Amino acid sequence: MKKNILITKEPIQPSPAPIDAGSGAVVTFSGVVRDQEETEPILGLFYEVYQPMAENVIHQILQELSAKHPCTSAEVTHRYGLIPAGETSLWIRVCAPHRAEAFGLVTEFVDRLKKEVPIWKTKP
Amino acid sequence: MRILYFAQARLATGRSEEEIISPEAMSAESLWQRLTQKHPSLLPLQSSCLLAKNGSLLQPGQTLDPQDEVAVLPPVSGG
Repeated sequence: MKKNILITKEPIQPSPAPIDAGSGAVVTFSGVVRDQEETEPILGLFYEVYQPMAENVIHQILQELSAKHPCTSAEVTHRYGLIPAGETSLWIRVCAPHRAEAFGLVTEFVDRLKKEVPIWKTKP
Repeated sequence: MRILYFAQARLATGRSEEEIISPEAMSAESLWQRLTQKHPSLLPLQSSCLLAKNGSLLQPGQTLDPQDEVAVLPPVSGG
């Protein structure tokens, strides 16, 4: 599976990369900063990252998941710094021959990212 | 040894990194003792934080060398 991982301070632009030939399913996911935390309104969240480790852990998770969910490519972009409410903090695009493996990989990847990847959000 | 603090650990210590002088290798327990003596505000976080050595999670029994980069990692919350 091809992997493209980007951790950036810049606003996330969905990838212009062409879709893999042979893909029957392309699943994209955007994680967006909500405008409230529990019931309290917020203007945004501050994300910090231990970048080299985060990139390695994301790579490792995708590698492991690709054995269970055989997809052809996975692109992951995570933003850090101050992210205003309504803007994207996480963007994923996965291509696969069929939808089941693409949905499966995205779902499990996000679950594991939230538990394993050294990225933190705090209220600014 | 270079120590990196993230999120709640950064807020508790008031810094994102610092150098500590250590002439020889030390265990995770010894390092925690040094860090919490210097920053008592880290004590309540110790049980929930992991340590990483040069970008990889510290394994049980692994020691920390004077030239290592050690990160104090509170529970993560990305996404």
